Amino acid sequence: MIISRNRKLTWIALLVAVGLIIFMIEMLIPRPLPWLKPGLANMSTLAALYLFGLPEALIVAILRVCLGSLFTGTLFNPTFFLSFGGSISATLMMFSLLKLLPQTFSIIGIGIIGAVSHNVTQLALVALLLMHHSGIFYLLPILSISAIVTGIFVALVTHALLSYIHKHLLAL
Amino acid sequence: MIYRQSVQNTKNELFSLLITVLSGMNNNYTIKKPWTTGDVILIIVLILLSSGSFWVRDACLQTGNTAIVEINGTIVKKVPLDHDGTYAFQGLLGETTISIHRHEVSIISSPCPRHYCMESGTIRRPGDILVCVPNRISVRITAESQSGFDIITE
Repeated sequence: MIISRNRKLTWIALLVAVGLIIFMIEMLIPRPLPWLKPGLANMSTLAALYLFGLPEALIVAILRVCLGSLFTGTLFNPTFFLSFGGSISATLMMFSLLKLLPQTFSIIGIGIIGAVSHNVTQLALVALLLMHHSGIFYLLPILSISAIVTGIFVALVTHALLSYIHKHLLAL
Repeated sequence: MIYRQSVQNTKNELFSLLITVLSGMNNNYTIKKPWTTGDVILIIVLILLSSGSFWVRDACLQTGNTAIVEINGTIVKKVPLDHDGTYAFQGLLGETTISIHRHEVSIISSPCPRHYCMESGTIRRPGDILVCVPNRISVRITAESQSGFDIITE
């Protein structure tokens, strides 16, 4: 898709804003466990990946994580680095899957891979930086099964968003 | 008139958006449609991997490094698991002997009538516990970290 620079800038800003709003709303939803989050904010990264490519998706992910932690007051504390690393690895994994196996997986598979790699990276970072032992991997089965569910959900929402964009907004 | 038309359009678009979310189908979506066989295979593989890691994860876990012995609810001794040995403790009924062998703790002799504590086998993971109710003795395993904190977060 070839679009002008300004329009791309606007799209990126829009995706970051949408991701931030979803992130802030997600913070308000009561959760059974504090670390079990739907991760819907990942849909802005996924949409940027499909609409533009890797650099734009990385920009959206980094900006969303930094601004989100600025708003929630967790900038540069351990949880910030967890979500930062998780988002970047999720973006890279989704991009590589999209490039390497474009025919095998639809947006569902890409979303699931994003969610799972986000969780696995976070657990690895917790084990490396905070806890210094591998007991945290007790949570891995629970987290990866919930990541499958939330990944499908995020992918379906992003699919609807992309369909809508392609149908109504991208008369470019 | 124009306003009403635009409202109608928005309603239709919202409705079609809802349909898209629920059914996962859309004709104008130029990228691949959802639910390919690859997706299903990926989901099945991931579910198998995560349920498989339920069994595997026990192997990755750290073992405990201290056995805490309590008699009648008060801690009487903290035994490090590094060295093998046997320890005897005086309980309500008599002497209970605890053996530490290769980081595993077991009760090897007890004056209690039914010897449930001896039949409980060996323990080695943090949180595991051996109890002898008649003799009021319990042994539990902890993993005491060097820094004194398990985790620091906000």
